[in-house]
Amino acid sequence: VTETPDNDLVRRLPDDPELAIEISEGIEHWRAGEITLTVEGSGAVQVRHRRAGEERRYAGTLDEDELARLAGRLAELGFATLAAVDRDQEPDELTVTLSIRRGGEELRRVEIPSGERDDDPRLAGVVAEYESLVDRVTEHDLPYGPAAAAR
Amino acid sequence: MSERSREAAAPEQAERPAQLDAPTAETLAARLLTLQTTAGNRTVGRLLARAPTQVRINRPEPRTRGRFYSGTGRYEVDFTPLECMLTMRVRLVPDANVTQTEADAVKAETEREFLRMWDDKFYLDETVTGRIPFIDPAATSTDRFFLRVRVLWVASGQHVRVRLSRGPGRDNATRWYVTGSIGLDRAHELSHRLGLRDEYIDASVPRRRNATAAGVFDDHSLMGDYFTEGVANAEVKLRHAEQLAADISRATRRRFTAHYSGSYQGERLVRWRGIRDAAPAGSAERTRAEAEVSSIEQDLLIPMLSGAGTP
Repeated sequence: VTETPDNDLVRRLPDDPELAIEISEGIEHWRAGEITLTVEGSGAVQVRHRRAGEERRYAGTLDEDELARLAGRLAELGFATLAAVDRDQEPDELTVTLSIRRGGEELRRVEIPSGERDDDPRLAGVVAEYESLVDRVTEHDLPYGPAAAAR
Repeated sequence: MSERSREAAAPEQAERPAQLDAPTAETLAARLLTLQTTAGNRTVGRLLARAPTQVRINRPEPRTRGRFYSGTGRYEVDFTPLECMLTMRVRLVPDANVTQTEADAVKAETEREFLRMWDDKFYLDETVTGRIPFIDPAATSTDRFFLRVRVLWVASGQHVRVRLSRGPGRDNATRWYVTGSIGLDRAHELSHRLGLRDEYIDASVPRRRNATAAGVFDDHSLMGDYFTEGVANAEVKLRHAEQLAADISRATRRRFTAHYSGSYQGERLVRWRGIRDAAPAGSAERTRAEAEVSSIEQDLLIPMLSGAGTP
């Protein structure tokens, strides 16, 4: 039986080491590339940076309090219920992908044009959390640091 | 009347021809006659009736699952003898937390980069038949217009409206950021408004889904992945100008072909020799760069000049 994730599930992330949430933005072959943040229920955090055929991974951990705060904040923002937005995008407008996984199974995945941040403060909040954690785990290499710079 | 006051008065006089005194009208008539003699009746007629032509493009790019990247282009062109002036009127709308200094810096940087990429890089040829119908109706002649480009920052009547946020963020065609992007990004974004599509790999676009797809180019194109290929070597291509020529032809109901200008080919020759020399010996990149260098040299007649002993 496939479970339908809700925001309570996101809030309970620290209680479920098998559960993971993932936030991704960017295109591998364009500018800074694709940056994917994965936060697991165990507190393990991973940033995968794919750019022009190269891949680099960064790893970190959140302590119990940090993980609980993040899970609570994402649940409050409605991470599990933000709806996919199906509209034409401007050239170069990126897509934000939000997913929830348990083990190898993807429980939920939505794609939202990044411009929706202007109209939806919940998405803006999720992206702000993502950028802040990526910045911390990569020690300022990403999303706007040297690893994202033009060559 | 001093030279300066005469210059200042000229536009007003031009707008109110009925008020011209006799000597001035005589001078204008004489100048018009001279122009007709040198440039021809048709050209003078065009000059007198001249109004910029608005070029409107709608070329959305299909993506997977029935989605699209929008493909709206807007600009205007105005022809004078020897020049086609392409004007893009941009209305930049800064967020409340963007300072005037920041907005001005973005404008200056964008304009500099857009002109560095586009201004005076190409010319448009128009071949016309039947200019001397009583002598040789089948005779053709070619007019040449150097493609000049300018950006006007306007508060209304814009071709393009762009929101400017403080950022950091990644620019797209209608949203720019003060931090997190570079001037070349905004030259890229304005080029979308010339009707050009992206040329980097995007798995969500069938014609750009991988490196061998028809819409992907890795030849240092401004519309490609210049972040990885090298910002310093990004350039606009003849295929881009050919797209402009086709769109301008459609809008003006005339027929233009696009060509590299000599000065741009000189600039490109230096750039491509640098790309060739920096590429590892024996690499595919070096072979391609060598071919590009040869092609530019052919266009500039360098082999022929060398053969004739000309330095």
